[in-house]
Amino acid sequence: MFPKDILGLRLLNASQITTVLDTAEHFRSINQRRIKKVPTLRGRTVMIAFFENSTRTKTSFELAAKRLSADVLSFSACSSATKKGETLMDTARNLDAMQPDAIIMRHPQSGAPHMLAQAFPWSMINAGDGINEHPSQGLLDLLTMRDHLGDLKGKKVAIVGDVYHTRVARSNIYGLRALGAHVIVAGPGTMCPQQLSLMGVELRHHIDEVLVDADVVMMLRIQRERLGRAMMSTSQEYSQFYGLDGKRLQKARSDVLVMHPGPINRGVELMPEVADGANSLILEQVSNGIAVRMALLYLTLGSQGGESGVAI
Amino acid sequence: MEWLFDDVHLLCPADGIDKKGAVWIREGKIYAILSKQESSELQASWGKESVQRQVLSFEGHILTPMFSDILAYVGLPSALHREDLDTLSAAARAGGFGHIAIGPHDGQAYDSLNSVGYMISKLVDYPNIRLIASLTRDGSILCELGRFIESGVCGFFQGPIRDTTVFRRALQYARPYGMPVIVRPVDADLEDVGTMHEGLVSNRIGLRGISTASEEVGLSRLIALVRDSGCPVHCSQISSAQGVRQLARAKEEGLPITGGVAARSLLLDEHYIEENSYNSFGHLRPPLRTKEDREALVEGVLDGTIDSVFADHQSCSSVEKECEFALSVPGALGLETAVSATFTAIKDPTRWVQSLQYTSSIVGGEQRLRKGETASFVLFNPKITWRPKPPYQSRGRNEPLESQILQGRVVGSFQDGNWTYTLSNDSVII
Repeated sequence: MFPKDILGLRLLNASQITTVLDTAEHFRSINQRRIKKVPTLRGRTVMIAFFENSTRTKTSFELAAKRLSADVLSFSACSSATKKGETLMDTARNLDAMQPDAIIMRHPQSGAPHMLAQAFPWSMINAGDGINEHPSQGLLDLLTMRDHLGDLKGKKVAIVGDVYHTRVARSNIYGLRALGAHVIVAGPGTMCPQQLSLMGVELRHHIDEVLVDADVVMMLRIQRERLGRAMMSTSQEYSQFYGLDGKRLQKARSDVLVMHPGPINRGVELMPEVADGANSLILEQVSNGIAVRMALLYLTLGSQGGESGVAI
Repeated sequence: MEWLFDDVHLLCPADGIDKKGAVWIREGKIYAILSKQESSELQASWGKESVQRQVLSFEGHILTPMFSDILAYVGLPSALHREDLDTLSAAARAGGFGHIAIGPHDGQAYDSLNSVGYMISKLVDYPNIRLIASLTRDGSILCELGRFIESGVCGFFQGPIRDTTVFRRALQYARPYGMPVIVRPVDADLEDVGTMHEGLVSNRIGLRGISTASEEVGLSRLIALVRDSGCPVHCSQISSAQGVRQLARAKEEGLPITGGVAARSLLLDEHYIEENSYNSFGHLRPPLRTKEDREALVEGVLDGTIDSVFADHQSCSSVEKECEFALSVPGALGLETAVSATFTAIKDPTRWVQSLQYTSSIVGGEQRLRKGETASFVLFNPKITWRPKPPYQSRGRNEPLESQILQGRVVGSFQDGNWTYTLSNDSVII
């Protein structure tokens, strides 16, 4: 039985992650058909509740649900309902009264989806919570890596930049570790604090050290909206020491895979010649997003029983 | 009316009493402490029980003077939905606390003559509740300590404070008054960046952390200022192993500094938040720290480095807790569980009583098991195991110790010669 909720890769084991990736591979073919729709989730209601801005994740989830024929209701809230006098729990109680089958939620506070998931019967899919996790992005990154590298066991993946504030980084660390990859993180001391090494990753502070024998280099955006005081000096210094340009890329293996969860700050962490270059998998990541999210909806709603077992 | 509390374990470290026996209560006072033999003889002389004479056998129960507590929260004047004096008082009695002191919290500063006078007027009907006022207003102005004392406060409290000069002068100013000064030692800037302990778990679950350095820096500054000012200070709450070491060194140096710990910190650590799906009941200031810190706190209570255990009682409304972890109001209930939590954690009856009665020197009501003393004591059954569960006497329900099975429970509070609380039969005993 697959879990009811997808809250983070921290809570999934290797077998469950592999199931998602395998299922996503099946769904990928649907996205290449002329009629991109199957009746798998017909009659099921999926709510997309985003309490934070998003373009690609929200669109991707919406497309995924629609391609599975679910009834989709999407809404955004500019901030937590607490500020309007309603607790998040009360907001959820109201949504619950409309009998959804799944809620896909993005929220600026870490743990918000976890709190609701243990209180309600519907499936909760975390589309990003605070600085904690972004499991669907982590899974699509794993799928993209697996497409190119096969088994990820023993592969070296370098994650560079603002690891502490980046939820995708946390999901990737859990997923990659579960699948046996070796994860190296590199970034300024404030964005890669000592405690990260307790998570079973190798901690470095110089990008050149991690580029040399990496199979994958994942570059991260500076999460300006989440930074506290005095987390970095200037963008120019950051770019000089942690940015990836064509010259620096030459220090890596010629077949190194360059990834970025987007949106990219071109000219800061990633130079255009690398973002658009031959090693870049950035648009492939986006394409894989829909298939992974279809898989998540299929597997979580399937765990509830009912009709979601309809053939793909 | 006379009572004979028979077959109890009498425990009063202050009087050197730790033995089986009985307590004879007459006209609201302790008339005699009796041995088993003396108790049997008395019962034989009484003959048949009457309405005026009752023999109550509490075999295996501990009978000890009531406990005391400081810095409890009450929602006067504007947050009565969180806690009022009746519910606070009931929670204290149910927890075995005879005397407690309300303390300043966010929104209830007690830093002006008006606010202090208002609270003192409200406490007239609650003789067992005292008031601890603020030492400074907003950490920038010295409060009218002398006039507060005249109004009836029992001590002063200083929470996080940024301006070290004001802090130093506040301690210099307070010293001659000779009243208890209680401080929560913390560096406010380091604390304000996070919502839980910074370490493995905060990194793992993506919550911003509060480094142990926040306490270490705050305590270092406090120790320097105590040395400088000579003002005796009680640290309300130590949360880390490093804090225990600093406190021990300051005491070795002979500085007039003592320390306390919240009872829940002896049982819970940072894992609570991960294991309970970011439950905001675990959002506390200072935060729950590591297992090693928790063990050091227990050791600190046992060896006397930490002088007192307190409930750190702060009732919150559902609106303040049924929300995202980082947006929730820090604080938890404590009065109804602190005695059991401490007993569960330290397992040493003598230190258990001493640490929970330590603050009686601040709030008053220091009681003894002696002939002629007012009969105020707690009956505690050490064999009961139970898991806290609402409803509580307190108005809130933010009790993180619901995750724990506690050993021992207060089954009755007998205060000023009368029963003020008895555990009902439908209580949640497992």
